[in-house]
Amino acid sequence: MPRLLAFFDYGYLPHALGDTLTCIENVQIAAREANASEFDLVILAARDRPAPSWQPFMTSHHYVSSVHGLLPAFLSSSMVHDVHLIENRQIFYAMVSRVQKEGTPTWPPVTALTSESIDFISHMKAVEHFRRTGSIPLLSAPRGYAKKVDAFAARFCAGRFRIVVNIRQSHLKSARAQPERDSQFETWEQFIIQCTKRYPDVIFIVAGQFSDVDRRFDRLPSTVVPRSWGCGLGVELALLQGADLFMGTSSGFAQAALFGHPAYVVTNTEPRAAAFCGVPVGARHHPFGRPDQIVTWSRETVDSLMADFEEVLAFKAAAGNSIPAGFKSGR
Amino acid sequence: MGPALMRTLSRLLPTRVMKRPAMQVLRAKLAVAERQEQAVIGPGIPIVGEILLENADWRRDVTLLLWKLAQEAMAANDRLAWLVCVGLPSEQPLEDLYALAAQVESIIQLHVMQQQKDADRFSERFVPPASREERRRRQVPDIHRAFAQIAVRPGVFNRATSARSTAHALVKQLSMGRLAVVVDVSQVHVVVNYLSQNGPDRALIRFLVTGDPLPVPFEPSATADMIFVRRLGLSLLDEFGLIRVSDAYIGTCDHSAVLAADAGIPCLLASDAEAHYGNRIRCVPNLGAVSEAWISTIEQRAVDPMSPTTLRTDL
Repeated sequence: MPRLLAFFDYGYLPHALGDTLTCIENVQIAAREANASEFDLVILAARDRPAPSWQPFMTSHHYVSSVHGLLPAFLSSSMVHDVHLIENRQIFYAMVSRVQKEGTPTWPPVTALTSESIDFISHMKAVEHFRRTGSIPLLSAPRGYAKKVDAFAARFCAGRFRIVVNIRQSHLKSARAQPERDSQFETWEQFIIQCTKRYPDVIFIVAGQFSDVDRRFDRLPSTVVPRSWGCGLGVELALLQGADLFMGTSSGFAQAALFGHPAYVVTNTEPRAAAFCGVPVGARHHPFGRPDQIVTWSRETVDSLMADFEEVLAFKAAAGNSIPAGFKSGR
Repeated sequence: MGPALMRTLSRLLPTRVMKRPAMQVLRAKLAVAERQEQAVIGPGIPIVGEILLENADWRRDVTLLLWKLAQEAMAANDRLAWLVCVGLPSEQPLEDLYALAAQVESIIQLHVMQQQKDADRFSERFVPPASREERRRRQVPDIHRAFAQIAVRPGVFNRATSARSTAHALVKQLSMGRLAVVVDVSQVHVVVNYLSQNGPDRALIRFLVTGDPLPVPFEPSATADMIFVRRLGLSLLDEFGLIRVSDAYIGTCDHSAVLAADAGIPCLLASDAEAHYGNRIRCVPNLGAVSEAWISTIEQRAVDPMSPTTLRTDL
């Protein structure tokens, strides 16, 4: 079987978790459609053009930390084989020219590479693939973190119903963007307190960059923050893919859930995202989503979170999946 | 013919056309074709190191090979260094490899391949014969021989990044004017013993513990003079920055020790045998037996670096 080559040039691809995961999903789909069981990654992050022009804060001084932080996302596919991390544009183009000569399948197509036009936002490839085949290839736990995840789970999650949470809090970032998409800590605080009273065996695992997670989460009941225990993105993504449920704002981590394994409640999806996702505004599920995978289009409230949470539990119970003790269907 | 053709084209075509990706692909294609015929080392011929990532010490071995490649790249600044890694280790492979490669000022291309046959195929296509021949003669240095050279040579892990500048600010904040001694988590018992014997009267030092805090059985917040930096959200990349701006390092003979030694930081390292390298790197079998005296010497050097006693006292 041929192996596909996936080219990522951070000269025009954004340094963003959600876009990286969307691209990896699109690579998986392209590999499947090319009858390739594996793909190689060629990632260019170069000093001369470290980021697209609309991320001016990402300079030649900063980009190493950003790329380093995103690397686990690239391993969120069981199809990844070889990885080339390149800082020299000529070598990148040499590899492009080689695959062009050999006719090796690539993502994106070579014409898109030479015109530097890649669609890193749209879910339409996934939607179209699902409509043709009835399924999409799912993202997986990144390779290389199983031992740490096991240690973390043994310490904090043993015997608990695991809910991975990520809440968009851009006001905590130094480079704040699109504050209208943010969630309110207080809403989630009340939801977590109510939920843990009703279901004492749940554990909330709050994922997100260290500076982006409100420090008050560390003091909530039945809540643990992996980054406060030395865990990074790789462990968080692995915990997410193995979780009983993901809950969070439409943002980077939500993409891992949308294209991944867990049941989810993704809140506050932007209406303008509807066109990119191939759904009408207000749709309850993505075309490739299961009944226990819910999206909402408005800012969440404590009541809406609890209602969506229990709706997902009902589907999970009906399917015979694990649910918190004390959950009664038809509550 | 390739370079001549490109020179002709660059004279005939505007710069903005020459900079287009399609032209750069053509340029790269011609450059690779020309290099593939090179049987002699020269400008533009990559310096290639290859390493099998097969044992638990792969981070140390990668760091040592990077050190060697970086030295050669510094000596021949018109040649890029490539590191070909065969095998994808089971723990955090890509992050840690990139964090190590990003310490080097000279650009290091990282090529991580799962199997030797993929590495061989990659070499046939992209590595010139001259580089392949040179690579065969290049071995991973022994760490003790490397320490002996590091002690007397300028550093190579000198890349300035935001991780380093952030680490510098963090060390200033955490140490608050005190000495910042970085300790690998595997040797945290040494610090616990030191603090229990010397107590809060020793106000000159802040210990910053690097490495995974999860396996540590005690609650670190109980000891205010010791901070587990990964609990502050730092990654391995950030820890490397921290090590380079610290005042001393206590650990084992691993990748972090190589980076600390390269930065000229005094190091006390657990090792099978006793050895001194210059007056900054000391390896001992029993860290606990010497750590108190060593730390006192570090303190004294900070307080009075030019005193005869300080200058006479080896670390």
